Amino acid sequence: MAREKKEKVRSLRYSHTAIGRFLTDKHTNRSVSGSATLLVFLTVFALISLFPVVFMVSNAFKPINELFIYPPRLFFIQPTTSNFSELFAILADSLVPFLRYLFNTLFIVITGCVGHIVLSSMAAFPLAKFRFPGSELMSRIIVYSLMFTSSVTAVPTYMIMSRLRLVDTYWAVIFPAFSLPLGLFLMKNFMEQVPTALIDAASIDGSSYFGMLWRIIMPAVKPAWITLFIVCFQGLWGNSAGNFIYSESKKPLAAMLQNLSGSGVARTGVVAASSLFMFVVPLIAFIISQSNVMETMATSGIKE
Amino acid sequence: MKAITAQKSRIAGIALLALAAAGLTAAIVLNARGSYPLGKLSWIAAAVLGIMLVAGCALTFRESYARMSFSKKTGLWGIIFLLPWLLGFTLFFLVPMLEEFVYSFENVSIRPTGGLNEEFIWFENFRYILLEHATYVRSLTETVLEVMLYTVLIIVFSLLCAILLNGKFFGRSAARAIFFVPIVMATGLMIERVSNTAGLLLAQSQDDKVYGAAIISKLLFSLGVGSGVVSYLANAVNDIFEVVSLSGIQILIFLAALQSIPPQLYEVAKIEGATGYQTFWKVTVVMVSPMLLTCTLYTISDLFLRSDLADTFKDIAFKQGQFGRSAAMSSFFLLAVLLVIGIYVLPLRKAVFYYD
Repeated sequence: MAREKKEKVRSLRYSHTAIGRFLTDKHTNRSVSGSATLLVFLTVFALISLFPVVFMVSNAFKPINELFIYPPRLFFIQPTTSNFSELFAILADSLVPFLRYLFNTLFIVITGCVGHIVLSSMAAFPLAKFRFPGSELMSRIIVYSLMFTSSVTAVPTYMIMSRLRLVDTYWAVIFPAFSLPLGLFLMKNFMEQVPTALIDAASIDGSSYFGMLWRIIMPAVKPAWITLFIVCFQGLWGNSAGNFIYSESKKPLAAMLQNLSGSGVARTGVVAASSLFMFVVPLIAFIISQSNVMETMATSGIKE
Repeated sequence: MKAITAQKSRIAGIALLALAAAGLTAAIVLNARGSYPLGKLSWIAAAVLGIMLVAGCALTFRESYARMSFSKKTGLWGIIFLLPWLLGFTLFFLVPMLEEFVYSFENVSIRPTGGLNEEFIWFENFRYILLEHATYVRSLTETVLEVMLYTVLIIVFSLLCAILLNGKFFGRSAARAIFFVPIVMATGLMIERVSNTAGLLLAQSQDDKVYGAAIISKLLFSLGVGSGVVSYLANAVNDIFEVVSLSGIQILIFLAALQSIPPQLYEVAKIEGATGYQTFWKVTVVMVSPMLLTCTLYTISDLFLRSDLADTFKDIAFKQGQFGRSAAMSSFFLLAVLLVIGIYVLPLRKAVFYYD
C-alpha cells in the first residue's frame, strides 16, 4: 500500500509542468508517464494505419517514371496532376457516361444503406427489448449467421436472383445488402443499452410500437446507425457487382474502375488516381458522419 | 352498432384474404409454367398482393387483437417488426446456404438451354477436393492456422486499443478517427487497388497482401540493414499491419461495451481498495466478456471470409464452371470455420458473465 502511494506520487511528479498539463489534457491528477506511453503507443499504431493512405495519396500524384522507381519511394519527387487529367480524359471518352456510373453507384449505395438500417433496426428493436416465443432462438441464429457471408454462397444466391428475375438489375446487389446480419447484430447490442424505462414511459403515454422505435429508440442509438451507415456505405461503394450486373449501363463505378486497372501497365498512373478517388468518397462520408459517431458514442450510455 | 362493424370488417378481411390467396396461387401456377404475362409489372402485382394480405389480416383479426393481453400484443408486434428482415434473410441467406450444401453432393453443370443440371454423386466432390486438388488442403490448413493466430492478436489488440481510446487524453477524437480509417480502407477493392499498384511497383513482390512489409523491407534493405533482420522485421510489420487494419469494427464494438459498464462498479472497486490491475481483470474484462465472445466470433468469420481461399471458390464456380466442386470446397471450409469457432468460443462461453 505504502509503495503504491509512493509510486503514485512519483508518477504525478511532472503533472504540474506545462508539458504534463498538455499530455494529460489538463487533468493534473493523471500520471504523465502513463499518458506519454499511451501517446507513443497510439502514435505508432496510428502511423501504421495511416501508412497505406499516405502511400496511396502520394502515388496518385507521382508521374509515371516515379511510379516505377526502384526501390520505391513513399513520397513523390515532382508532383504532377497528369494522372488525374488522363483519368478524366478516359472517363470523358467512355461509351457510357461517367455520370451514369456515378448514379448507379449512388443509387445502390443509398438505397442499400437506408434499407439495411431501417430493416435491421426494425428487427433489432423487438429482439433487444421484448421477450416473445422464439426471440432467444432468433438472437442465437443471428450471432451464428455472422460467420457466413455472401462470398461463400455466391452460386445459390445467383440462382435465386435468376429465379426472381433480378439478375442484371440494381436489386440483385441491393436486396442481399438489406438482410446482412451484421446490422441487426450491431443495432441489437446498442438497443439493449437503452433503458427499458424510456420505452415503458412511451408506452404509458400511448405511443404505438412504431412510435417507440422511431421517436425513442432511434434517436438514442444514433451512433449505432451512423456507424452502420459507414460500414454499409464502404461495403457497397466498393462492390463491383461483377456476378450480378452485366449491362455496361447498369454497372457501378467500382466495376468500371476495375476494368481500367485491368488494362495494363501503361495505365498505372490512372489506376493510382482512380484508387485515390475511390478512397476519398467513403472517407468524406466518414468524416461528415464521424463527428456524430465519436461524440454520441460517449453519451449513448443513458443512465437510469 | 359496434358488433356490426366488427362483423363487417371481418367479412371484408376474409374476402381480401381469399382474393390474395387466389392471386398467389395464380402467380405460383404461372411461374411454374414459365410464362410471365405481366412482365415487369409483376413486381407491382406482387406489391398489391402483399398489401392485400396485410390489410386482410388486419381486418380479420382486429377484434381478437383488441382482446389480446399486453404481452401477447408485444410479441405480435415483435414478430411483425422482424418479418421483413427475416424474409430477406431467409431468401438471400438461409436458402442459398442450404442449397450450397446440397450442391456439394452433386455434379452441377449449366444446361445449354439455361438452368442447372444436377446429378447426385454422394461424396465424389469431397473426394476430389481433399485427395486430388493441388492446393486446397494445404491452403485450408494454412488459413486455419493463420486465423487462429490472428484472432488472438486482433482481440487483444482491439481490446487494448478500445481501453486506451476510452480514456481521456489529449487528441482523443483525432486518435479515434485515425483508428477508424482501416474500416474505410478495409474494402476488398481498396486493398486490392493499393496492393495492385504496389504489386506493379515491386515487380517481384510475391504476396499481394504484404505490400506494406515489402516496401518497408525494401527501404531498409536499401539502407544496408542485414537481410535476416529485414525479413524478421518485415514479417512483424506485416502482422501488425494486418492486425491493425482488421480490428476497426472490433475496436468499435469494444468501445461501445466499455461505455456501457456501470461506473458504480469502478467506484466500489476503488472504495474496496482494488488496484488498477485487479480492477481491469475483475471488472473491465468480466463486464466486457459478452462482447469478447461476439467479437471473437466476428473476427474468426471475418478473417476466414477475407482469406484468399474464399476467393478461390468464386473463381472455381464462375470462371471454371465447376459449381459442385466449388460448393464442396465452401462446405468443407465452413466446417473448418466451425471447428475454429468451437475451439475458441466454447471455452469462452463458460467464462462469459452476463450482468443483469
